[in-house]
Amino acid sequence: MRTALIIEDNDNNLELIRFILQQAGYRVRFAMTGEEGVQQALTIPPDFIVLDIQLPDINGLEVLKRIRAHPVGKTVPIIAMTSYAMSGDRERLLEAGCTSYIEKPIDPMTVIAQIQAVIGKETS
Amino acid sequence: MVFKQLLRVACVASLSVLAIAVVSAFPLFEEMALTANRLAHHPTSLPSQAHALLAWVQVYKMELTLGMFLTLGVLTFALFILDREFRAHLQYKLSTSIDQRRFMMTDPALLQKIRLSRIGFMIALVAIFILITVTYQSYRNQLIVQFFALGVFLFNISGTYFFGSLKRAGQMERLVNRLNLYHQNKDEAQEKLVQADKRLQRQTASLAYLASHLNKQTSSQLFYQALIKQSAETLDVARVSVWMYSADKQQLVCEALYELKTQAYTQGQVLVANDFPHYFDALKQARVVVADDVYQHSATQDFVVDYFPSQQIGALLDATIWHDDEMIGVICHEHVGPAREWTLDEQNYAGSLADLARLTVELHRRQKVETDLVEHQENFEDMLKTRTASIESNAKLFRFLVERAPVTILYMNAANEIIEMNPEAERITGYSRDYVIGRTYQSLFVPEGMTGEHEAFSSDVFFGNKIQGQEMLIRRADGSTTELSISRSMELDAEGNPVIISIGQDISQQKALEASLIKAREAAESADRIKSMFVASMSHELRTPLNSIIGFLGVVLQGMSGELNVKQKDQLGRAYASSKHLLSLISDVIDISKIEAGFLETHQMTFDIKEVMHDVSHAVQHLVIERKLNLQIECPEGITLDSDRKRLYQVVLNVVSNALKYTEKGHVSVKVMPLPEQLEIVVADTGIGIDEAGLAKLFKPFERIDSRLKIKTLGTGLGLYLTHKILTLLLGGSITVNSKVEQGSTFTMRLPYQMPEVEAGKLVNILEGQ
Repeated sequence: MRTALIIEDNDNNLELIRFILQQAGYRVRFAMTGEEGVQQALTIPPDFIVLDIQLPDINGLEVLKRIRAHPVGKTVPIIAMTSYAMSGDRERLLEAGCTSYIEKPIDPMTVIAQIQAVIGKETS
Repeated sequence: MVFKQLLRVACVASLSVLAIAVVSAFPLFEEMALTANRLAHHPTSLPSQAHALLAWVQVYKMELTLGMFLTLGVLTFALFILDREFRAHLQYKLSTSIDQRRFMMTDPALLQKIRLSRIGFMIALVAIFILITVTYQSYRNQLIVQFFALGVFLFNISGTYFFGSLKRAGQMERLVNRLNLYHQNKDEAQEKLVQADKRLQRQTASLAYLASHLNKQTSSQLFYQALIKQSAETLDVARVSVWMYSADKQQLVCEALYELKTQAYTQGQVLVANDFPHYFDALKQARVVVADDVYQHSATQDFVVDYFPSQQIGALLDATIWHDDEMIGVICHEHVGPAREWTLDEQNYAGSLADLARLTVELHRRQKVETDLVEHQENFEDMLKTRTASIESNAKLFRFLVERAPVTILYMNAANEIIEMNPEAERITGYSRDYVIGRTYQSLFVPEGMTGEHEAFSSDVFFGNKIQGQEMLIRRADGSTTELSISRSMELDAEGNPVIISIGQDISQQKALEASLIKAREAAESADRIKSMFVASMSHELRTPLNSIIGFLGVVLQGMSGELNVKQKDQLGRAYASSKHLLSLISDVIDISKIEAGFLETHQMTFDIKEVMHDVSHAVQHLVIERKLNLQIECPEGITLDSDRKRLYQVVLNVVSNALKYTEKGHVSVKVMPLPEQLEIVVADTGIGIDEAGLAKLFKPFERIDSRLKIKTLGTGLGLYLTHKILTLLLGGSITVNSKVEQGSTFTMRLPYQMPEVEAGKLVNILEGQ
């Protein structure tokens, strides 16, 4: 079973994405601040990360950069999540090393399909 | 005359015959006396009258002889008288012929006759002398013979004398003739002198006449005409003309030509130098070219072949006109007829004419210079007047300017002593004009501790730099300071002394205004920041819970949390749709507020329009299926735009989804057409269409077109308004609509291939204007 790390400050959204991922068969860990997220991502590397861009302490872009700056986080797939992205967000995120990109509001089926496309189907 | 001569000859001849007869009579008397004597002795043989006559001869023999001698003497005397008379006549002739200077030829026939008669006389004398001598050898009375011989001798002498006189008379006559001939030559010479005198008089008169016309009033043309007419008449020449060199000296142009016969003037003929090289050369070398016979003269050989024979010209007299050591023209006299010897006075006359022509040229040139000078002077005076008036008026305006100008004006000398100060400067500094004049700038206006700055400033000006708008603190009369914007430069006055002109503008108010403006701007900027922060947080704060709602509804609806019954599914579906609608409403409001505040960011990138069309097609797929419509998209390959992809997508999506929403059946077509400057996207539908009232408010916010479809369609009422804003303000394009109710609508969007650079500030202004 693969492990996902969700970095999301809003507990409702966290619950939503956690539920969807669990339903899809992933083990889920989570962090509610950017700092915590970075720390978790680098200490106990997950199989993939779902990252909210709007975070209270350090924003998602910065989190993304820090993870990618570290050798451990260089290759881990990171799926960014943003609500109604501004034009250019997508490009900035992909440039910073984001593997994929989901726009809020999220549609459960779309999210699962997108994650599976990035990391491959969970077979177990 | 002839008669007199004949009479004279007859007299001489008859006297000679008479003398011969008388001499011959002597022996006759003697014979008669002897016969009478013999007859007296024979009385019967003779009548009585003969006897009586013989007796008379016998008695008066002596008396007869004396009578004969007397007759001889008379004859001699007569000869002598005749001779005297002849000589007197000769003398008379001589004197008269000399006095009257009349030429008289001696008649050669008369001389011949005189010579013949003289020879005859000599022969007669010799014959008589021989006859007497032979006949009277035997004559008895020897005494008578001797007397007789003496008489003959005397006669002979007188005759010889007479004829000698005749010979001398002939010689004299020849002398007289010679004298006469001499006189005749002398007369001719005198005649010539007289003629020359007359010519000179005529020439002098004509020159005087011409000189009297040499004035400013007579144009050179008229003067030339008068000149050549005078010359033609004075010299009796058939044609006279004046020629002037053209400016390039390559041709002579005829100024005037006069023909004596027709008394007509012509002009304008041209002689080209290259055609007559000898003639032109000759003109340059002489004051007067004198060709007595044009066929012999070197200068005129150019004309021999053609011109002279055709005009019958025999002689030519050309006087060249010189001005400033330069030949400018020629006066040409053409004599028609045989060769003519031009006299010295005529040559001089021609030369004088050339001088007159030169004088008239000089006169008119000088006159032109004088006229120009006068004109120039008048212009200059006018200009001077205008200039003076303008200077006075300028000075007045200038004084006005200095006195009324709302800036301080100071004049200083090189030592920075005030020379002049205007009322505004008095007002601002508080010093009176009378006080400051003569005092130095430093002592009056420079605040304490600022001396160094002012000195640097002053010396800068003194080295010729112009100071423009330098902000300086100056001291007032009451010791306070004020800030002026000072412009200063150094000029030279009329005497060449440096004058420093310092112009100051009170900028204290301006400074205060600037400060308040800066404050206002800062306030405005902070307000904007607050607004943008508000908008940004709203965007996040409103959407975050909505996203949760939509997300969970989606999870539940898809049965991930357990099966739903039909009723639950329907109700949750309505909640899900409403949530989605609310989200799009919020998104539109945020976008509009951002656009209007100028905070909507753009992201420019290069992309293919086909991708956008594909995305749009994908996004509206559910609508197409739901409404059972036909969507046709035509898009050529390889059209790239340098624009905001997301915004363009938003615009096209909005228009296409609108078209789908307002079309019940039929189709919606999207055509992308690359125009030269812009890309055109046409969205056409077969929907309900828009009436005129609807068209008017189509692009206004929160307006939804009234239609029977209203209830059936979902929309924020902001879609087209936002579309219009994005397209016109961000992408630099346009949108127009063409619609017919019940037939459909066509939306035409145009946008440039390259998105214009739009500054946030400018965008604010554009929006404020709306």
